[in-house]
Amino acid sequence: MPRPRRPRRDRLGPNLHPTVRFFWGLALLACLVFSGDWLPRAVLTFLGVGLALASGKRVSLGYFGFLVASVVVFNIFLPVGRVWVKLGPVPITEGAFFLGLGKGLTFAGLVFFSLASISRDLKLPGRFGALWGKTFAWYEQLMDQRHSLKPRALLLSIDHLLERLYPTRAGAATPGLAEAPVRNPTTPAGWALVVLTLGPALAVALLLR
Amino acid sequence: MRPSGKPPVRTDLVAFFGALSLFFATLEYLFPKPIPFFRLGLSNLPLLVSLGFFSFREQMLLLLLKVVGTGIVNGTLASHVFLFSTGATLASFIVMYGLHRLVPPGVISLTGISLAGAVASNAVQIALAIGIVYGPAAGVVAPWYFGLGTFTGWAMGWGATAFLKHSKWLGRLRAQA
Repeated sequence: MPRPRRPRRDRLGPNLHPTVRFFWGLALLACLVFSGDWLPRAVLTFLGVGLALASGKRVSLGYFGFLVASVVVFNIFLPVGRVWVKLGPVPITEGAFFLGLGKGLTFAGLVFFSLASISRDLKLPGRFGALWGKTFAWYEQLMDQRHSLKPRALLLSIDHLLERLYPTRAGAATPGLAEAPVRNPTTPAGWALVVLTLGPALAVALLLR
Repeated sequence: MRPSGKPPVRTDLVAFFGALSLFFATLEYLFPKPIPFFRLGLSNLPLLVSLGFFSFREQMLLLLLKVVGTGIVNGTLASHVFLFSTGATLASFIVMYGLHRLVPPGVISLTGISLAGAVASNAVQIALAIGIVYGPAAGVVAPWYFGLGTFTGWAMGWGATAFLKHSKWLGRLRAQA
């Protein structure tokens, strides 16, 4: 059985407030979506890979390579532009290849920017936000106690864990939930990162069209 | 009892089930996938086992917590993955809830309900994949996708049935409800 991978350190979190980080990610996403050709999309997707890695998220390059390749393959039979080669009656065209490549890179890039910009400490507004706060506090407790799960007695160990966290026996006290997470303000280094990534991303999206 | 006559939403319990859903989603995310895009759908287990004792409103809240929460915890909230996840979860929930409410328990088992939910979820994902990401040619993988979906739907149904049968915690919770 494969061993679960250890979580990596989030290098962006200490410097960016979750809300600033969220809107920064949205702006980067907009640059990616509105950049026209495959080349700026490729450049922005590589920026996304770097940021996703810096955010401590697991990035499987094989998985994303497969995603881009499969989008190219499924798009390649559309007759668009100059014919490269003919496979029997089906023409493989330059336009279809680059269309598929641009599309595949966009979808991969969307995930990378999303991974980099969505923080677990992101505060949601309203009553749903309060409910999300409770859910996340319990989720953290479940994650903290996940080592008490035993593969050989899985159902029994899950049952014990659930009873510990949400007691159902008469007279049992509900343990207190963890306090809300402390959200770091955006540091000067964080603002510098925002400017140094958004500026070039905008330039790439506008100039390499 | 409130003037509207509707029972109040048990927010603590819904939040706890939402946390369970995220916990299972994370456990699944931590293990490498044998096939690209393959998902067991462990995070659907809390939705499945709560069919019997959550009201419609509570189920909808749990569904919302599951899709938004998974998007935040896994970091896919601002990507097409979130759209796929929302569409698939909503479709499977509508089918599972409808079957649970309309078909008598002796006619369909929880595994049958889970299978039907998995088929609905896969149908929506394939439609979105064709419409948004891959184009019409993606239809060729639909039979494989439905095959895998049938397996995962059966596995989740089997898991939910086993948990319902053996879990004392869930038994006490259902008795209280």
